[in-house]
This record gives sequence, structure tokens and C-alpha cells, in this order.
Amino acid sequence: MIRLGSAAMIGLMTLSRIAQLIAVILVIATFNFVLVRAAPGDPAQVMAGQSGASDPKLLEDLRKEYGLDKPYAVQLASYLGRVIRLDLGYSYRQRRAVVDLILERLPATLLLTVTAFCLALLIGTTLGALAGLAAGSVLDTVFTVLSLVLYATPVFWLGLMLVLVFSVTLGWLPPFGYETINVKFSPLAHALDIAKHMIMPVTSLAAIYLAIYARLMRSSIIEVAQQDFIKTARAKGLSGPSIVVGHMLRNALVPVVTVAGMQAGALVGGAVVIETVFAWPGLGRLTFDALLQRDYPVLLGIFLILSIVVIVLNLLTDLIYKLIDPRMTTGAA
Amino acid sequence: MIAHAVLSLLPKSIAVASGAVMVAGQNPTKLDRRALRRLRGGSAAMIFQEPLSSLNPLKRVGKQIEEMILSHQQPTPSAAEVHARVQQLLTQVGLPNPQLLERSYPFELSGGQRQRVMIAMAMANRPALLIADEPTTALDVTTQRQILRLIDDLRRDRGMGVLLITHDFGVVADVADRVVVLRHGKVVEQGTVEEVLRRPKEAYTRELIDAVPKARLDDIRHKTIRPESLLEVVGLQKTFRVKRGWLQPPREVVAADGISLTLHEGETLAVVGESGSGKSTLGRMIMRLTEPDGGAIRFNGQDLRLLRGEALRQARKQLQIVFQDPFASLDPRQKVGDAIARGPMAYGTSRSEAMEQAKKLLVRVGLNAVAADRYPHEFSGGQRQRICIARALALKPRVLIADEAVSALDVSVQAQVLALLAELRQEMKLAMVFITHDLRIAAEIADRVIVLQKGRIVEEGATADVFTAPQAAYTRDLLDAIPGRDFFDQPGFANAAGKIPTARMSS
Amino acid sequence: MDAVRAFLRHPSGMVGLVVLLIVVVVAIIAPIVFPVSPWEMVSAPFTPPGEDGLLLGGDTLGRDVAAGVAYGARVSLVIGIASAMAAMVIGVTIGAISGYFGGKVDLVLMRMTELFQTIPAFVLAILLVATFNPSLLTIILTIGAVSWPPLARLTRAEFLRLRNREFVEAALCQGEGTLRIVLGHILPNAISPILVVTSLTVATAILLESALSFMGLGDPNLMSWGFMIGAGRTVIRNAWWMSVFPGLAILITVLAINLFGEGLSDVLNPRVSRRRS
Repeated sequence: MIRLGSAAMIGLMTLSRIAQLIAVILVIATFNFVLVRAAPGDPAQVMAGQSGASDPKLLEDLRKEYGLDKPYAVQLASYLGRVIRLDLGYSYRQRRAVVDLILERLPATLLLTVTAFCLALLIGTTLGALAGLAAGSVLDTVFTVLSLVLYATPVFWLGLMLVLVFSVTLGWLPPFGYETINVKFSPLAHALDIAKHMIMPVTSLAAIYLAIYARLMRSSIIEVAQQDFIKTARAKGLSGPSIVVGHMLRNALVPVVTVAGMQAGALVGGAVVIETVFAWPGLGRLTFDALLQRDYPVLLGIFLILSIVVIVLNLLTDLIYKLIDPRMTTGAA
Repeated sequence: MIAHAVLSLLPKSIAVASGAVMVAGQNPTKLDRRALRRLRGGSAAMIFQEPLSSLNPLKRVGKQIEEMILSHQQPTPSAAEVHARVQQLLTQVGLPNPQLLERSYPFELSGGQRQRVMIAMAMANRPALLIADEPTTALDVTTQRQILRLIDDLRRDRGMGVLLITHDFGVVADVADRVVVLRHGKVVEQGTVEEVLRRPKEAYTRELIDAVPKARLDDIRHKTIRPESLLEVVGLQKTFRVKRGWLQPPREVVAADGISLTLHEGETLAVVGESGSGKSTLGRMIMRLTEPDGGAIRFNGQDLRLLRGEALRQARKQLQIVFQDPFASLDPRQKVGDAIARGPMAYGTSRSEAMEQAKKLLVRVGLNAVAADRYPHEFSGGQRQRICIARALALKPRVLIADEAVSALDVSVQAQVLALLAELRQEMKLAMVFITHDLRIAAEIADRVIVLQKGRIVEEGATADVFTAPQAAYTRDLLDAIPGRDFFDQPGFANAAGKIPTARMSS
Repeated sequence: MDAVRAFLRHPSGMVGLVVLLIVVVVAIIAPIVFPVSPWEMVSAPFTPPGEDGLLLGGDTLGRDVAAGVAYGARVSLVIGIASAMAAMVIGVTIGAISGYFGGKVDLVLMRMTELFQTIPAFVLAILLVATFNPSLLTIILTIGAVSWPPLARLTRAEFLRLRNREFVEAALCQGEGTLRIVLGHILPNAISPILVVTSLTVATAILLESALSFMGLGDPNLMSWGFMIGAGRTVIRNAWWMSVFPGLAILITVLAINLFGEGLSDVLNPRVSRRRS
């Protein structure tokens, strides 16, 4: 039997994720294709958006370009070919290639989501572990109530409430935007300025997922504490802290990381709304603008790109997972 | 587990060698936390029933042993010393290739190896007392014997006391010096093994000892076999493929490798083997619950394997099965009467008639007719198994497959259910395939025995022949591994074993 | 019956139920308490709460925020419950087929479920509603279409667990047919976790609906909480009440449903309840 080292195994897993990524891109592109044809109205009109639909020459050009008179199979093949070459079409409203529009906005979205994701995971699991270890205490009750409330809060409303408190009432933080405009900064000051703008969007986005991870970590810790090997550790005469650090945390993290991966999609969805609230110049804002103008090629492109972002976040949690659980890398589970 | 053993209906707690409440001159309940930690894993170490769940799944076993050493020895030994000690311990408990083993995770080891790791860990600080809580209950007989022997050897070498908690009198007879019998948390009887097992003073102890299944080799039931064959299995094949990760070949487990057997009318055939021998798969394949890869199952002139749909449904009526776990075998949301009546109703019997019949069957298996209106959770394990038997018999089958049907039950209940099965077999002229890992039970109930190992029949013959003159080495190993065999096979016990406790409601 | 009695003794579950009942009552009696449509101007623009007989204030066009909140409850509850039902029908069907038949069918269906779970549901919902134009029906179907994967996975897991249970095999051996086994033995034993997750899906559906209408993708004929917050967003400096009250309404409703669902979970399946994500 070939036993692969864990580094090689992680490499292979990454490869398989990339294969999966390509498969997902193709499936989503196909879905987009079907959606355009299923939409009420002529595909050319759909692609042109509200602004372009009244221009007969543009519609004619579009029909020619996408070969809309050809059979569906041919159309699909040529569409998939374009998508693979990262040609996501053209926004007739903005008069630019969709992929350029998206790539321009992507970094801001990534900055927001990745920061929120990491913070939520880090703080959420820490608070959850504390609550789980002190199950039944006042601290635990406070955490539980707080996370229940956060879990029920609409993310965009939480953002607005932060604006109301910290910008409107207290005037501490800028209410929207990515940076202070029309001011020349040194690089460091610029970074700090961006960070200041990030505080509220990141907090509102992270808070809800933080609540989810904390709740999960709490129950996970409580469950692990009842396992036989904790009894063993106690029978070994280990001290409380070394049982927690040496035996409980890692085991308790496994289900949390699994869920964190599955929640990545929801987090990215939340980012779209949050960007709208804070006029954050990312894909969410672009989505909102595209929606107002019914700029369909842009919406389709955003859906595809954000799906890819989610898969990349999944890859990240996969790697964490593999670091935590040896059963994953040796292929035993 | 201790709590469970103490609280459950028929627990026996058996103390070996030093069984003092005071541990090494200290009373654990009066120690402060730090001293208690020194005691735990220091002078008193413990091993548990389930070695897999008792080890941290995400930590290399070497590290888990190291931790035991590092947390107790003062001054803290150097890394090299600790490593050497871990190697030494792993060698002592008879694990092959300690270098590789130390870097393994628990899931990479077999059940016996895991228990050895647990023992190595327990021995790390040379304890004065080893508490072993059902240490072999989750293991196969042959592994059980090795582990018990290992514990016994270590005890002798180290002059260490062992507190062994077990439900199995065979194990007691094999390794213990002194016994304490517990019931409902109270000591019923205590003394040396000789005293308690040979001359029990209490009725309860007596009952428990009588209930240990013993081979009745003087019985000549195999003469009564009629030649007509009822069920014939020819060259049955089955391989399970377990998918593993990416790029790795699937793991193959051979569950049946050309199994052929014949079941005669009215005969009881025991199929014995350790876990992974394919014995349960055989029973399931006969019932068509698991699809064989090849071979034939002939019953009533038909090959069951070729039947589909309605024809299969009709054939199944004559073959019924009783499963191991009485708690999983009954639909928790279905009344007991319905569970029994559903079968006949599916074949066209009217509801009122099927219910009438179900009530009669409940009485026959030793329960009350009013049980029909109750739900399964209101019954004990033994009672549920009686219900399952009634359900299987409701269709008046010709073949009954009992898949470890008494394994999940306490010894005395086990004896009662076995007796019930024996009676029903006579009454209904049933042919029975009795699948079990317990050779003692096979010897008690079967006319003929088949021994399975890794999907192959290694031995087949009349019960008395197999038990008195085993031909295959594997059969001999299995027989030798039966706990307490030497003790209970002595003439003094043959008489007591002769009488089967009558089936009663009390289970 | 035991379950009902146990639920009555479950403190947080009962709080959830009571609050939920209040929201339901508000939704039902909204037209009686506020006979004037929430779209009608009833006062001067930006009337603060408590003035001019407007308990929760007036919006940019002088519409009654309290009326909007009350009517919004109807929209949220109808959409929440209907789309959770839709998700349950889709999820249970897919999960049951996958779990009972296994093999290739299972593989294909589960890959599809994973895909649906991976892609950002909210973005897909935006795309779907934008494609088919927002209306009560398209919103319900869209939320149903993006919310079913957890239910499918749960149902599949339950079916897998139960289909190899001895009592199911015993039913097979006793000659009961596939449909009878599925409907008579497997589904009744799988139903309580499915109900629990469905009840929690109502909560996420309400959140999803509010986010959609916040983005301007609500049914234009219905006054909904998300729409009100969206309308209040740009004037938050002048009229905080326009966005605070509808948001609180969402928070309280969703919290009540979650408390109710978790109480249900504790009562119906104490073992599984803690495993839920």
C-alpha cells in the first residue's frame, strides 16, 4: 500500500479542489446560460439590460455576437468557451468588459470578507470555548443570550445601527466609503484610514458569524468534555488546563471548521448587503448598482466570481481541517 | 461505565488481589486536587472498555503516553529519557515495531493494539494499582485472552494489584484471585474464586453461575438430524469494498469466500466466528438483506438470489430473522401488537385475526397479551427480544436466522431467551441458523457447528465433535480462548449445566 | 402529548412561542388596527415617534411606520412559512431519494446539494428574483430554491441512519413494501429533526426576504420590513425611527422563531439538538 506523506496528500487534495473549482465554474456558467434563456423576454434584450433594450442595432449586434440564431448546444459551447477564457461579456450600461469591472472591485470585497471570516472564526471559537468550559455560569448565559440575539439580527440592519450610534450620534467613525477622499496620505496613514473605514462593515459582517461559531464551539466543547478520552486524561492525572489545551480544543474545533466552510457562502452573501449599506466599493456595491439598472451581464458575472471566492474560502477551511485532523490526510475517513 | 455496571440489573464487580478502599494508604475522596492528580495515573492507573474512544483521536499515541510520564515524574525527565521509556513500554505490552507505532494515530491501530496502548499508558508510572473496567468486553475472544494474559503477566512482574471489573464469570475464573459480587451497588458475596464459584452462598451468585452457557457435550442431539435438506447455500461470495481517500485503492474486506452449507429440517446450525469473519453477512445474505456477489441460495427448489419483487416477498415469508440489538429492532413509534401483526397483514390476513394471533404469540413467548397495546420503550432488553421472536414467528417461517440474538443480553436473561428458542424450535419444527461469536452459546444450542474465519469455513461438524476434537488450528485457538473454560468444564459443573432455566417473564 | 407537555415546561421555547403568537396576532389584526393602507400619507413627512398620533413616527412621505411594521409582519410570516415549506418539500424529496436508494442516484443528488450549498445563496437569490421579476410567488419560490440543501442533507442522513436499522430490515423481511416502509417506518422516525430544521428555516427565510427587499427586490405591492429599512437608510441622520423599528421587528420575530425551534428540538430529539449548525 502506498502511504503518502501529509504534505503530498495536501497537495493532491488541493489539486482535487482545483478540479472541483473548474467543474463548479462550468456548472454555474451553464446555469447562467439557462437562466438567460429562461428569463422573460429575448436573450439579447436581457443581455443588453434596460438601457440597451431600446436600441435595435445593439440588439442585432448582440444576436450576431452570441450566435443566438444557432442551436442551443452551439451557443452553450461557445459561451462556456468564453467563460473559461474569463470573458464574462460586456456591460452595455457601463460600456466596459464585465471581467474588468469585477476584478477592479474584487480586492475590496476580499479584504472585507476575509478579514471578517478570520475574525469571526478566531473570536467566535475563543468565546465559544470559554462559554462551553464555564457552561451554566453567568458568563455562559450572557454569551448565549448575546449570540442568540446576534443570530437573529439582519446583517444590514446591524450595520445601520452601528452607523446610527458611532457615526451619527458619536461621530467617531466614517459612516461609509473605503477611504477618505481628496486627502493625500502617507502609505501607513492610508492603511490606517482604510482600517478605520473597515471597522463598522467588518464588525457587522463578522458579528453574526461570530455568534454562529461561538454557539457551535460551545456545544462542541461540551460534547467533547463528555468523551471517554477525556475520562482517560483525567484518570492519567492531568491538570485541568492541560486537558483543555491538550485534548479538548483540537477535537472541539473539527465540527466548527466544517460548518465554517459551509457558512462561507452565506458570509459572502452578507458582504453583498453590507457593502450596500456602507457604500463599500466592492462587488456588493456593484451588485446593487447593476440591480438598479438591471445590468444582467454584470449580475451573472458577479454570481460566477463570488462562487469562486466561496470555493477558495472552502479551500482555506479544508487546509485548516487537515491541519487539525490527521484522519483527513491519511484518507481514513 | 462503572456507574452503568453498578446500576444495571445484573452487574458483577470482581476484585482481584488488592481490593482496598484505601489506595496506597490514601483515601481518594479526601485528597485535595493536586494530590488526587498525583494519585491518578501515578499510583493508581485505569483502563477502560472502549479503547478507541478512550484515546484522543487527534493525537499520536506516543505523545499520549509521554504526557502521562511528563505530568507525573519529578524532576521532569529529559526528552530522550521519555522517548526511551515510551519505547520500552510499547515493547513491554507486546506491540510490534514501537518506532512506527509511537507515531501512529489511534484510528490506525486495531482494537487489541489500542487496548495495549492504553495498558502501556497505565503502566507508565509503575502504578501500585491497575483498575481495569471491562477491558476486554469490546474485543474478540482470542484478543481478549491475549490482553488478559498481558495484564496478568504485568501484575506478576510488578507485584501490582489489579481491580478488574467484568460481567463475565469465565474471565473471573481465568484470572482472578478474589471475587466481589455486586448487585444494585451492594456487595452480595465475596471470597476467593474457588469459594465463590464452587460453593456460592447466595442464591443470586448461584443463578449467575448457572446461567453461564456451558457446552453440553454429553448430549447426543445430533442423532436426531433428518436427512432432508431445507436450505442450501452454494459457493456464496461477497467482498465489501470500502472507499478510502483519493488515489488509494479501496480496502477490500472478504466477507464470504465460497461458503457452502446445508441446513436440514428441524436442525439448529450454529455459525461461529470472530468479528470480521463474515458470519452476520452470511445470515443477511440468506435473507437477501445484503446482495451476494456470487453463488446460490437454494430454498424450496428456488434460488433465492434470482428472486425479485413479489416472488422474493413470498419467499421471505418462510425465512425470518432475529437481530442482535433488541433496542434497534423495534420501531419506537409502533405498538408491539402492530409490529407483530404487520407481517401477516402484509400477506393478506385480516387485521383482527392478525392481532388475535399476535396476542397469542406474546403469551407464548412469555409476555402478557396486554403488551400488544404498549410501545417498545416500555420493555426491557430481554422482553424486547421476546417480542422480536414473536414477530419473526408470526409468519410461521420454516427457517429462523438468529443473528447474535442473545449477545446483547445479560447472562441470566440470555439463558432464558435461549431456552425459549429451544422450546419454540421443537414446537414449530423450525430449522435455525444460530449466528454467534460465543462458542459457549453455540455449544449449548446447536446440533451442528460451522466455524468461519475471514469468509471461509474452516471447520464444520456435529457440535460434540467440533468441541471435543477440533480439526482446525483456528477452532482450537477459539476454544482455548473461551474464558473460564478450564474451570467450568470440570466435572463439578457438568451437572449444574444440564438444566436450562425455564423461560420466564422476569427477563 | 408528552412532547406538548415537555414543551410547555421549556422556558425559552415558551417565550419564543408566546412572542411568535403575538407577532401572528399583529399580522392578523393589522387591517383592523390600521384601516388606512400603510402606503397612504397620514401626516407630515418625518413625524417623530409619538407625535401626531403616530406611535412609531412617520416616514419621508408621512406614512405611518407603525402601520408598515404591522403589515410587514404579514409579508414576513407568509413568505417565511411558505418558502420554508417549499424548501422542506424539495429537501425532503431529494434527501429521501438519496438516502433510501443510495448508490449513483445518491452521488449525483449529493453533488448537486453540495454545489447548491457552496454557492452564495443570497447572490443566487438576487439573480433569480431579478430574472423573474419580484412578486410574492417568485420570492417564495426563490427562497425555497436556495434554502433546501440543509434539509436535504438532514433527511438523507436520517434515512441512511434508519434504512439499515434492524426494525426497517425486519419490516422488509416481514413483506412490507417500499412505500409502506418509507412512509410507515422511516419518515415517522425522521420527522422530528426535519420539523425542527424546517421551523428554523422559517427564520432564515425571513432574514433572506428582508435582505432581498432591502436591496430593492421585494414585491413592489407589499409593505415589508426590509423595504422600510432600505427606505430609511439614506435618511438615517434625520429619521432614525424609520430603520430602527422595522429592524427590531425582524430581530424579535426571528429570535422568537429560533427560540421556539430550539425548544422544539430539545423536546423532540434531545440527542440531536446540539449537533445542529
